Amino acid sequence: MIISTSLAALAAGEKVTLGPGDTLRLEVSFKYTVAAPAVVTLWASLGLGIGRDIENFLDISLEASTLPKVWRGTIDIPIPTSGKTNGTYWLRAEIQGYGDTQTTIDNAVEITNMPGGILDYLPMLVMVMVMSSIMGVMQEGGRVISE
Amino acid sequence: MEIKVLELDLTTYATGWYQDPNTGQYYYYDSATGRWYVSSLGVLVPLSIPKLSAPKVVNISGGQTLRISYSYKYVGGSLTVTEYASIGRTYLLVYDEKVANSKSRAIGPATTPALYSGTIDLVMPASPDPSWNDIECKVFGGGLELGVNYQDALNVVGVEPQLSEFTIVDYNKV
Repeated sequence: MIISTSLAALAAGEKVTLGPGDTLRLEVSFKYTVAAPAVVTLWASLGLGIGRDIENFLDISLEASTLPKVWRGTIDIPIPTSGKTNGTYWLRAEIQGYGDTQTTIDNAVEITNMPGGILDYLPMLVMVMVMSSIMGVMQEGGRVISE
Repeated sequence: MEIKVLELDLTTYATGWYQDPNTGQYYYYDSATGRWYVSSLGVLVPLSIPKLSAPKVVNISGGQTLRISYSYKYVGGSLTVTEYASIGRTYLLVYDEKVANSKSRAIGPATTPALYSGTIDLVMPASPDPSWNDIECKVFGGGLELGVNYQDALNVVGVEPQLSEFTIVDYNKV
């Protein structure tokens, strides 16, 4: 099922909600001129902070054109089934190495229902280990008293 | 009514410094190139040719030929002039030509304005720099110089792609 989202609604604060295994499809366009056929790499990514957390890339072949020519196409970002954090991500598309060809939309994507990784259970694991240690000491101490 | 008369001295100048009797300003003339210069902060700067916004932009890439068409009028005695065209870039207000070509032409004598026109072809090298956006065309000889410089007249298309208007059109869950 395709969930359609208008950019106007997104600008007003609406987010696309994604879960594990979902795919986000971006439609991108730009103009170019080049004297000979060339290949550029389009990157699409999602991020929580400074770095890119989920990403994909697509090599695009450009035909030679001295007059500005429009390229328009799509790139998918598959959402992993695990290992990512639930939260609100920015969305970015860019062609690295070509000046101002970077567009970022803040708070564009909400990722939910992502299963927790081992780090999410770390506080519980620490608590269990502490409790185990305390129980061990108490049992050992009981034996000393009984002797 | 006072009639003002403009007299143009078509004497062939020798290389050296000359002083404008009206302003006192000194100018340097180079007979080899037929160009006048003015001293600015110890640097000889060619006398300015007006820099205008180009009326159109031509897309051009390495190996292609730019043809510049021009015309001018002349009144005076017999004279051999150089018609000169170039492609270059303007840096710190100074035009730096990169590709140039020229023709010689014998003109005059003429007592009424005579129209001369012509074309000059400029061949771009294989890998032109994208900053070579300006063109200049002029005619000079006998101490005269007349020309015009068009800024941003060219869009130089190199082997490196030039991208613009990059946009995320839309995005959806699929």
